[in-house]
Parts: sequence; structure tokens; C-alpha cells
Amino acid sequence: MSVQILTPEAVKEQVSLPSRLAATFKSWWVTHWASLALVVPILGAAAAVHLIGSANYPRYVDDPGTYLSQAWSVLYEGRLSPYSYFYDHAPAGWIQIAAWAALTDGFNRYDSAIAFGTECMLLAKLASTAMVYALTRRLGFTRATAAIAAALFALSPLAVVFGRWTFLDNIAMPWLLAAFTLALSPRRSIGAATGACACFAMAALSKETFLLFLPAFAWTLAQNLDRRNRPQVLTVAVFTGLLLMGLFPLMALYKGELFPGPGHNSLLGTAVWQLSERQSAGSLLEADSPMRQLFGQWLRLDMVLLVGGAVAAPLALTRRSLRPIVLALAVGWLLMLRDGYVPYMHVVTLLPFSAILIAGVVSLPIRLRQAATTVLAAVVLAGAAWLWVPGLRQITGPHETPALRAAAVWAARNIPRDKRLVVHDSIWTDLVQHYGYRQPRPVIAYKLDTDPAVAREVKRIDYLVVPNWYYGNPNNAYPSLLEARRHAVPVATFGSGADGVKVYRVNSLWTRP
Amino acid sequence: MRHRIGSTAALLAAVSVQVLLAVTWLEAFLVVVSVFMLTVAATTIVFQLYKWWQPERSDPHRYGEPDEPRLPGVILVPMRDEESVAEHTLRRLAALNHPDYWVVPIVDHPDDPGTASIAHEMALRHSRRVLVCPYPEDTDVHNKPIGLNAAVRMLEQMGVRYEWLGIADAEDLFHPDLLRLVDYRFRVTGAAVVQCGVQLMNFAAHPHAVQRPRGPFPRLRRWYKAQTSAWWRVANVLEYFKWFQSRLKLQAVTRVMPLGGNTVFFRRQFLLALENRYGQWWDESCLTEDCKIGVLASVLGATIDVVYVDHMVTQEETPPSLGAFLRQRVRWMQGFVQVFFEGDWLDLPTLTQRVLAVYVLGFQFFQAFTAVFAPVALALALVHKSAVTVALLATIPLALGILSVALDVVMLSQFGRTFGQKVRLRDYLGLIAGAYPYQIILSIAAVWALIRFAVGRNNWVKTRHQGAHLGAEPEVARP
Repeated sequence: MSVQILTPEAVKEQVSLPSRLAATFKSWWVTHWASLALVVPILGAAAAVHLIGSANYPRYVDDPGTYLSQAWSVLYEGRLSPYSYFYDHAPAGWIQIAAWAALTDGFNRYDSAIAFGTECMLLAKLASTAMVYALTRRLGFTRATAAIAAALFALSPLAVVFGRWTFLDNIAMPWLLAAFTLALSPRRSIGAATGACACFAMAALSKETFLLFLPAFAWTLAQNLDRRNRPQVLTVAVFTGLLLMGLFPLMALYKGELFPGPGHNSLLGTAVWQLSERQSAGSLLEADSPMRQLFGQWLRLDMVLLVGGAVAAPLALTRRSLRPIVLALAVGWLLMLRDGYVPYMHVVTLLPFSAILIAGVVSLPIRLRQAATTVLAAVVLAGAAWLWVPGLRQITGPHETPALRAAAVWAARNIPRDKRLVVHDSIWTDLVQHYGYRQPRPVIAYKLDTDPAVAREVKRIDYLVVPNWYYGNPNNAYPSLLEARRHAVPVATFGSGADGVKVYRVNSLWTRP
Repeated sequence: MRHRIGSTAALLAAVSVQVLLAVTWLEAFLVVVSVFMLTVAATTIVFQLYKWWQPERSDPHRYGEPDEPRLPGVILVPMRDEESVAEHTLRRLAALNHPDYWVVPIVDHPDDPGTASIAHEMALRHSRRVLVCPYPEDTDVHNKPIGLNAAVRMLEQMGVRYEWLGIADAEDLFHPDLLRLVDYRFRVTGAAVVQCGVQLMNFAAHPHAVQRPRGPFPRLRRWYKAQTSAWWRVANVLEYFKWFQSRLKLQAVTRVMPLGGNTVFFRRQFLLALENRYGQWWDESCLTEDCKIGVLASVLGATIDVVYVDHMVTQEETPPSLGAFLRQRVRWMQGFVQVFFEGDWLDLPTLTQRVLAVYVLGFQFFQAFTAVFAPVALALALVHKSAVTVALLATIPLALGILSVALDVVMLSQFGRTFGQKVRLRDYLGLIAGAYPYQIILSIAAVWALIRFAVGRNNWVKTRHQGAHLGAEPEVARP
């Protein structure tokens, strides 16, 4: 080879950043255009079933409104919550919502914050779906298999319904899937492993329960290490993950709220309460336990993904790359079997892994033969479509306006702005942001009894706008609310049953003790 | 002189603006400084990890198996006051495993007759290998680049046939097979320059790592010296470990290359191109002529190959004392500043390269300041009860500093395994405890170098060789 002394043009081509980026993009396109051709239609279908009919369905539940109010507070008040933040969840989830709202003026684009939350969840759903595809590919499966997994996850009615609700798990899921995907990067670079750990940290910061996936994630990462750069990869990646996750306790420490003490909330205090004192949902194995009822609700939406995933898991153990995924799913199932607290949206964490395992197991007997796989893909998708079409019809069909939404609109028309409202969290942000209830601000119902600052400051209550199920809570979780209702008369009614809303006007002579 | 006053004024202005900013808007100041420090700390870590970024980059077979050498060459050995090591070095260099090369010691006859006579004796004994080059008599200045240029002129005049030209320092014991590898790499890569690894070795707190002093209680004093100097020696050793096997590769790939001062080999064709463009080879007025020639090579578009084969690196020792280490650092930093202000790097073809050149030449100053200021920034944020986000942001650069130390611990254990040296717990402890003081030393060197440059003191009195592992203080290449 002759001595290389390059002309400036040749050097430019080799090292200038734009030309290298262009080359990288070109090679990426060459490798991935076929995948894009498969994924884009799936994403399109996912977006369609997510959005169509999402304004009125599913019904309003607890929590989405709280997260949205906290995102609102991050954006407009620079605080983690409109109330005193008590470390119930790590804040990255609603900070991401706030970031999207800041970028797109999200809270002003919709009449209701819940609809904006649905949009955020659409982004999360699309990201998760794409990640399911990428992860399945990196687990060593064909494009067809990956497409089946992505389609199963995108279109299962269970995934669609729970994917619409603004739950932190939905926000954390793309990060978790990205963590697995990056951990399996074929380049095995420090960058990929660091990205993986950073994504895992983001998942845990979005929903702290995702820490339960740590063993599965670590296993995946360990499977893909190369001894030639292992010490450096592990040092940088693990440190980065810990640093990112450590910012949360560090924040508590800097605020003087890490350790429990009188007169302030604390991270550790709340953690102890969450781990030890929360109401158990019973075990899935006990008939009539709340866990069993919840499980029944999930199954009514879709059996394919849940049961299919559980059946596929043991078969998937034959494939080395799938074992950590089996572990991830098994952890989710074990949580339901034990006699402890299981959150309502727990199923969210089971779905993508179930989809991957089903698709993986279905394609295991076929030795990568393209035609056969394609036929199989068609069969699986056709079967799923046949099972799911009625459910998806129902989900995307017309529904009545949720009673809470109707009540909020009524309140805005009929209740003066200087009245104190006690409301369900799902309408709080709208009342503050769109309907001008600023002075005094509405109070989210459960804060009456849980937030000491609210208990101190809110003595007069004028209206109650909460769904009927609040008054029928068997554990007497809202004593102040019940007390206020004793001094109140109904002034408007929306819907009926547990989801219905009666608006009460409280006697102006009554104040809280 | 005028531009110096200008740059001093600019520096002072920048500092006072910063202080003003800091006093009036502490939070904004902390945010800006933290983001800056974060950038510096993160890039430092990422750049130093180039070799380990992907596993292929540290594959043991990545350099290939050398075949029969074909290119004739020359090794230049600048020597001054090297009586203790000259014979040993020249004998070793004369017996390398390559069929066709000359060893050219460069000696100053009137100034240093002892070394000169050793060189001539060796030339007599190995008349087909060793050729003595006299240091020019027409100058009072004594430095390495003048000697190197004189040697190249002499080779041209004598019509010596050579295809490549390497540089060894007086105490450098090249590995016997090094030239075969260099010869091979020149031919397979088409490189114009091959930079081979240089590695400081004496990291340990164990007394064998330092020379036994003369005078009373030599053992006790050696033990004490070893214990009290290990903290900076180990950091210095690791700097070389990272610089020569990893960071320089990044510089070669990005074509912005500060070369090392020895175990570096140039193709003749490259030297010709250099002469055509700049009229000389090494810059005789530059404190770091090796860095300068690297920058010029990058401007010319020369391909540079960086080779670090564990068992073939040129092994050297740290400076004998902390003071000597500090002076060496000041000289290098000042040399880098010189190269920066001479502005040849502005001719680099792409913006990416120019940015990287600024980074290479200037960022060692920021790196030093970053390492020292990171804890201060966090302390300021906490004491002044800044917003929690600001305090968290200010924490990250400090955390990256801790990551850097953790990586050094990993590297030290790798170093021990690579070179078959026992690394003891106290070596690790010294590394950890010394990490911050080491950065302070570098910061002092940086400030000192800037001051020297600003007042125009570009001369440098090289410290006399004390006689380290073979009786000489190494004139080391720079990480």
C-alpha cells in the first residue's frame, strides 16, 4: 500500500461529521427499510385503535388525573405536585408529560387534560410497539415473528384499553423495552450498554416498581457482554444507571426529605408505608379475592395475550435468548400469586413480554424459513383478528360522555369561581386550567384526608364533584368527604351507578372540624 | 509580544466577567458552569475509552502477523549527558530484529564529550549499524528538534537510503521485534506515521518502584519516598496507559494527532511533503516539537497508525520527583499553548477537526479546572440553597469524576495483569486518595504554563538526568 497523504477533500469525506452521519443513515436505511415497511403499518393501526373513540372510552379512573395535575404543576408552577409531593412515585413519568406539554402547548390543545394524557399515551404506545419489534428482532427472530409480536401488543383490546389510560407504567414501558433492546445491541459497545442502563434507570424513575425487572434486565445484559471490553462496559454502564436513579434519592436528600421526620414528607417514610402497610389484594389463587376480580376484568378484555403468554413462557425456556424475557414475565405473574398489594394497572407490565413470548414460541419450530413463517404470521394475525374484532369495535365505537366530564362542564357553567370544589382528580386540571377555578383552587378528594397542608388550610367546602363509587368505598377511605356530604344537598346528577356523578352543594354554615 | 498582552487582557476580562456573573446570578452561573463541566467530564471519559468502546477495537489480533521486513530505515537517538545509559541503549538498538536499518545517535561533541566518545566507540564496533551525527556547533540552544533536523540533513547529504525514520530517546529499549511490526504496519496500512506505545511502569507503592537514594538510611528513605510518591506516579502511569492505547487511536481516526516524542516512525515521503510545505521538519522553537509535527501531519492529511502491543511498548519511568513531574507538565502545557497560538491547526480541512484540535490543545486546561472546581460548584449550590434542580445538575460533574476514578481502578488492575505486576491494595487506595490532589497538581501546572506563556518565557532549562531505572531520567512522551 502506498503512503497515504490525503487531499483535504478526501479527509473531509472521511472525518467530517455531516458526511459520516449521512453514511451512517444510508447504511441504516439499507439494513432496515424492510423492517420499516413492516412496522409503519402496524404503528398506523396501533395509532388508529388508540385514538378512535378515545375521548369517551375507557371510563375515568383514579390516578390519570393525578399524574396530569402533577405534570401541569411541573409545567406551570415548577413543582412536582400541586400538593405537597410525598414521594408516592418517582417523578420522571409526569415530568415527561410536562416536557411534551411544554413543547406542544399540550394542556391548551384539548378541552380536557385526560384527552391530552391519551395523546401522551399514544406516543408511549407507539414507542413500546416499535420497541417490541426491535427487541424481538434482537432476540434472534425473523422480521415476520417480530411483526407478529408487535401486532399482538399493538392490537390486543386489553393492551389498547390499558394503553389509553395515563398510567406511569405506560410511560415506563418503552424505556424498559429500550433497555432490553440496547442491552442486546450486536455492537456490544460501551455506548449501547450505557444507553441500556440509562433507559432502565428512566423506566425505574418513571415507575419505581419497574425495579422488579432488574434481574431480567441484568441477565440480558450479561448474556451480551464481550470479555474484551467487559470491565469498562460494566463500570461505565452500571455507574450511569446508578447515577441516574440516584438523582431521585439525592433530590430527597437535598430537600431534607430523605429520612422520615416530623412535619415533612420523606422518601423512606413513604417507601416503608408502601412496602408494608398497603392493603393486600389477596392472591390470584384465592377465589373472590380482589386480585381474582381484577384478573377477571382483564380476561374479559382479552384472553389471548395473557393466557397465551403464560402458556408460551415454559416453552420459551428452550431458547437461551428468551429466558430473561420469561423471567420478566414470571416476576409479573408471581406478584399476582403472592398475597400482597397489586395495582390496578399491573397488567400493563405483562403485555409486551407476553406478546414477544407468544410470537417467539410460535416461530420456534420453523427453522427461519421465510415462506412458512409468513403463512404462520398470517394465521396468527387472522386468528387474533377474529377474536379481537368485536372487542376493538366496542373500544373504538361511540360511547356516552363520561359522567365526570359532563359534571365538570356543568360545574363550569353553574358554579361561581369563588367557591371551593372538592373534585375527582380527572377533572381537577381542567377546572384550574380551562375554567378558571384558581382562587380558591379545587381540591382533589383524597387529598382532604391525606395531605396535612390541605387538612390545615381547607376548612370551608362548597361543592362535591366526585363519582358515586367514592361514597361507597368499603374501607372508609374518605371520611371528610362523607362528613361533608352529610351537610349537603344534590344539585345535579350525571349518569348512574358507581360511575355516576352527583354534584352536591354543601351547607355554607358548615366548616370542617 | 502584543498578542500576548492582548490574550492576557482577554483572559483577565473573562475571569472578571465570570466572577461578576457568579456574584450576581449564582444560580445561572452554576448552571452554565455545571453544563460546561459536564461536557468536559463526559467527553474526557468517552474519548479515553475509545479502545474499549467496541470489543473489536481491543482484539488481540487486530494488528496482524508481521511478515518479512522490506523497508530500510533509520532510528535517530538524540543524546545529551547520557553516559550512564548510552552504551546499553545503543547496543540494544543495534541488535534489533530487522535486516536493514541505521542507528544514528545525535551527540554534542564539545558540550558532552563523554557521551560522544561512547557513541563513536559503538559506531566502530557496529560499523554497518551505527552512524554518529554531530549536534550543530553554530547554536547555543540545545534542544531535541535542532538535533533531529541536523540528523535528517546529514542523512540526505550522505545519501543514506531509508524509507522510514524512527525516534528513540537515550534510555529507550525498543523491543527486538518492534521494527518488524512497524515495517509491516507501514506497508499494510499505508500510514505516513506509525506511533507505537510508550508506557510508564513504576506505579507501585512498593519500594522497588523508586531508586535507592545515596546517603544515610537509604532503605528507609527509599521506602518513605515510594510510599509518599505512589499517589501521583500511579495516576501518571495510568495516563500513559489510557493515552497510548486508546485516546491516540481516537485522534488518529479523527485525523487530529498530537504525536508522542519517541517510539514514533515517519515515512520518508511524509518528511519530504513536510519539507515542501513548511521548509523544515521539526519546529526548533517549539517546546513540544512532537505535538507540533503531529498537528502538521494532520494538516497535510497524513494517515497515522497507532500501535499498542502490550509486550512491545517502550517502557519508561515517571519523573523522579513531584517537582520534576510538575515542571515536565508545565513544559508540555506551555508547548500546547504555543502550538495553539501558532494556529497551524486552523488549516485542518474540516470543522470537526478544528473543534477537536481546540479540544486537544486547550481542553487539558479546562479538564484540570473542571476536576478541581466540580466539588466547589456542588458545595456552592448546597450552601447557598440553590434550587434542587441546580444542585442536582451540579452533582453530575462530580459524579463523573467519581466514575473516572472507578475506571482508573479498573484500568490499574488491567495494567497489573497486562504487565505481570502485582497491584496491592495500597496502590488502589493511593490511586483513589490521590485522584483529587493529582488534578490540583495539573491545575497548578496549567496556571503556571499560562503565566509563563503570557509573560513570554519560552525557554526551558531541562532538568539534568538523575539516573533512574538505567541511570537516566526519561525524556518521556506525553499523554
